[in-house]
Amino acid sequence: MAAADSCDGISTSGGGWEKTVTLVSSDDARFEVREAAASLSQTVRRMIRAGGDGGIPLPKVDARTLSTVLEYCNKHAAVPAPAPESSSAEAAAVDLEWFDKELMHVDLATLCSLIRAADYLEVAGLLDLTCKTVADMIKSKTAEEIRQMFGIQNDFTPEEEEQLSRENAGVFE
Amino acid sequence: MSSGDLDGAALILSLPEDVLALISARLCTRDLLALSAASRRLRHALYGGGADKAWLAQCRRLLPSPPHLLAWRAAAGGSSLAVCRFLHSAAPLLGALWAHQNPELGNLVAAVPGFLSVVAARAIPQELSPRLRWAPVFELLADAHGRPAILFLHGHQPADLFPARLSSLQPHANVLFLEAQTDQDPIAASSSHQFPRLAFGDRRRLLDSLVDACRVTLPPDLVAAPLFARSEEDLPVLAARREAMLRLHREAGGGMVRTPEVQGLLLEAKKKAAPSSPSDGGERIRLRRSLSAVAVAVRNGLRQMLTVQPPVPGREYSGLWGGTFGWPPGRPEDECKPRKALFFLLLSYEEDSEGKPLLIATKVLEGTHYVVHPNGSSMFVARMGEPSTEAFPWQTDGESRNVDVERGFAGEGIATGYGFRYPGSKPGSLFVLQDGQLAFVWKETGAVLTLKRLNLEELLKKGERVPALQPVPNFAYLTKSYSNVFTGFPGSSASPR
Repeated sequence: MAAADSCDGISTSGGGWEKTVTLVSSDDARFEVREAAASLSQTVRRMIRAGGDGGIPLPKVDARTLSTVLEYCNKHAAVPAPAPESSSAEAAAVDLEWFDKELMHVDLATLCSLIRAADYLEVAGLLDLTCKTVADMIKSKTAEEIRQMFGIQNDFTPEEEEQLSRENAGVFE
Repeated sequence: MSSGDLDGAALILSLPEDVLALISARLCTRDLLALSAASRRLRHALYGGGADKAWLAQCRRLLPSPPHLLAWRAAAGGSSLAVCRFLHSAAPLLGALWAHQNPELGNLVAAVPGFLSVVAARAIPQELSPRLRWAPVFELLADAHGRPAILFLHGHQPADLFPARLSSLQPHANVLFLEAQTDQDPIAASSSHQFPRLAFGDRRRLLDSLVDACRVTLPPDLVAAPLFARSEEDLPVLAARREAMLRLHREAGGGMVRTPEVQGLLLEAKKKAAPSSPSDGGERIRLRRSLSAVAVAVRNGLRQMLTVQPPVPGREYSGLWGGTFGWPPGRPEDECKPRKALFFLLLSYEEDSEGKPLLIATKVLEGTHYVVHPNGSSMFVARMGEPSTEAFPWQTDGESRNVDVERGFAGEGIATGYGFRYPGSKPGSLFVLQDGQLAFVWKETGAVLTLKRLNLEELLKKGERVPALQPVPNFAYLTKSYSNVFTGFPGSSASPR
């Protein structure tokens, strides 16, 4: 994925230029990103405050994951805060919801990478979104459906399985 | 995209524990169990110590107070899984209300959370006072795994406890069924035990003999300890009380006794019940008194679990209400004598034959020495589709404040009928007052019953513990159905209405 992608969002609607910061992924890809977007990450915000040059190193996040995280941050930081009741606020909320949904169309491995990144970078909204997505994958499913969903081998013997369902039914239901 | 070499289980387990807790907070316990049953690795991880926060997140959904939850977890050996298991297993009981139709003067048993336990407390018939008087009935404590298996029945003396084990707990349980058991593990053996096959008289003799033999006594410093936390300050003494009770239960073998008398009774009873299989006659018999709560499908009228309808739009008034007769309404802090008899009513909605909504107020508790109507009587029925044509008779309350009436409904109130058990009814009106109180006014007599919504758990916590009922030969059939067996306590004043 091209690291320069994240440079398009730096002009504001007023035509001026916003301050940007450079983030460096674990595999040395550099991302130039608006400070407002990068600051959605509490970790990055602290590092910006601490100062330094040559870009902010993020050794726990690879380029592919970081680009998705920044996609999220750019989108969510771009939204101005209109009056809560206005129709544009409603439209913006619908748009964001749609964007979030699309962003979560990934496999479990990617999702887990995003979760770890959101946790490390402390992007609260993204952490919430990704955890909710994993929870929704598990919710209201049987053990067998969960196995199918996540490609898990059933390594219980039939006796153990029966024992488990008896235990769970007896104590938790 | 592929998920690489790791399967889903490994991927999920690679997440930090805090993140697992966040995911767990969005799931219900059943989901977490299904996940743990998907593979050995998931089972091991979720049941091991590394996923405690995920279970803690589940506990938070069921027990919102963090200090209480942490104290419960400490009492469960630091296992949130055990706390979670207990909260789930005990859920069918928590918040449950039972009322007796016999004895007909009424009393109400409520199950509320204790300390890693469920406490069943009986609100006794009483006068209105600042503190609700209640007597403990039984306590159900979590064992080391969080199973609600450790049961104590309360005796008349505050220190007296009778240990037993709970063999099964079914949703909507409304009967506590006492059985004597000879098995080691009542949970495993509940289907095969022989007690129900014994003759009625033998069963009763066995239980009486067991109860006499298995009494344990709380240490003196814990006799006055609370049964549930009134504030965080109670948590340490509650933890100490739990420890002491677990020790007593262990030392008593869970209520298992081996007195020659009990063994003799059992042998005799068994011979009568199954004369063809005397093979175990010469064995040393270990006897366990076990309690199992079982659901009875039919409402047999003796003990009845009350279905409390939650208030929802269109059914705003359903739930438990309490109040007194007379205007102005009695207030708990009033010191006037004689005090007013306290009524508890369960309000629920039904439909009449034409499908119109009725609000029915069923009496579940009535002070004091004598009762006028049997428990379970409808004190009033209001037709919620029919506005009242009557005016509320009073303009001001006891403190000369104006009374604002929001709504009024036509209805019928209970009246003297043919004897104690067959009341009649007379027209009246139900008024909804602005401060949330309800008042039913009998048109002819002007009698008024005013009601406030109750939070029974809070009332019990702030209430005053009184001794449990003294042994009576038959609780369900008292000699005089309208006299109050609960009022024989020191300090209870006589004030028949």
